[in-house]
Amino acid sequence: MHALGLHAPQFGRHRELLAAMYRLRRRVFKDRLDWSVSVSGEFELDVYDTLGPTYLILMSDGGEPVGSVRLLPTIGPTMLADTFPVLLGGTLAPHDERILESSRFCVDTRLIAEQAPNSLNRATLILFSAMIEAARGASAESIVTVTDTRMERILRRAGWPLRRIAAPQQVGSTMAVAGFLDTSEQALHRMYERADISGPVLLSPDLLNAAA
Amino acid sequence: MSPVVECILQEFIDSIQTASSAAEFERVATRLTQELGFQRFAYLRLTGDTPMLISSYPKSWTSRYFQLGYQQLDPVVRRARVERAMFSWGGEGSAPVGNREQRRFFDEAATFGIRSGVTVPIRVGFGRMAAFTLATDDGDVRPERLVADWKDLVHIVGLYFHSHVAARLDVPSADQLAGSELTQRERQCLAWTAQGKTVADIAVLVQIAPRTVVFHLENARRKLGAASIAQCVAEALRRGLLS
Repeated sequence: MHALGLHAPQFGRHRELLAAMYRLRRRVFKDRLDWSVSVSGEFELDVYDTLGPTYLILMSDGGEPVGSVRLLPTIGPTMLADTFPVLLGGTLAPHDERILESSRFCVDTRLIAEQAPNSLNRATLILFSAMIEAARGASAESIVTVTDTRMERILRRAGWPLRRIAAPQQVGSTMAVAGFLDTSEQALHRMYERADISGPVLLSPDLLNAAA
Repeated sequence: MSPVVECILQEFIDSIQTASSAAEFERVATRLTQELGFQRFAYLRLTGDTPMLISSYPKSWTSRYFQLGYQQLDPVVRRARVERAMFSWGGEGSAPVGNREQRRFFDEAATFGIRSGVTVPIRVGFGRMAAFTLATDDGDVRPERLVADWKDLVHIVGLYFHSHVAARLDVPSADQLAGSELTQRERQCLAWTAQGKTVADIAVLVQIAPRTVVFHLENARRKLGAASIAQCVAEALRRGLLS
């Protein structure tokens, strides 16, 4: 299992991969979680997809997209500053080229039942590893994210604890919380160990095409 | 996948990133429409009280359309409200649809060069909708245009167009969840600004740092989609947010 890092200038070349990811997101965020998101046909997109994001797409060994996460620089609009400032507890939203914001994290666990030794889904740990790799590749020192307390527990169990910005708040039907994730080399190696992998999981989709 | 389609999509994605006015959105979509072999496009959103339209349809047709409230009658719009996937309409081969009024509507549209097309329905949340249409006066949408590969493309194009328009041309709070309303602090800072107070004054009055005052005012400005703090104050007053 590996992840592909897809940047905005590559979208046209990898339309099928892009479509598969938007399809996965619709299944998770609209059909399963019933978020109030814009959907068309099988796809889901929101305003933050318009800001030139990088997508990390988790691929099963069979070559199917089974998870994804979106990364955006915090120097532009962010979910935390522009949609959920209520989670900042009065502090300033991060606005720094060394901080990335992650959002729309999902793993379709119905597709992969493989568990890591600590009973976390191994796919989740591999996508976490890809996030740290991508952040380090972009010279980012940390990742900021808006998530919920359920995901916060998963992060803690994965040994990648969220450093909270403020106390969780009720947003709609979920307890939402914002915080920072460490992207240090130690964090990366800890994640490799938990996922039971020896090295990088993030690949460029262009390289795969060249090899095929 | 054809390399030509790849280029069309990438060029569309690249150019829509920088579109910042309805006229620029219209230009970007017009080019894509022609490259895909259609003649005209229309993006119609029915959310608030006033419908929003960006299109390359003849102006004589679109102004007539809204004057007569055709968005209530238009079978394409009605179908887009209930349909989930892209659909095609019009054309020689298809049986006449709807009642006599609706058939007359189609006949009238045809005189403006709109005979058939494909429409992508978009669910915006809270029961609201938008539709992205590619149309032609060809009389018929050729089936090879609708092969599965293209379907994804037109869907993604429609959703991109919708999301970019929502991001650039809308009041940002319109599509967002709770938490995007003005906070108490933002209202406070705006109310003092409306009273003629400077940032330094407000910092003292509210007992926060001047930098934080600027932060709250900026957030309020963004939420109300205003170009300046002055416009933001005017907009907040107009909406009765400061009373």
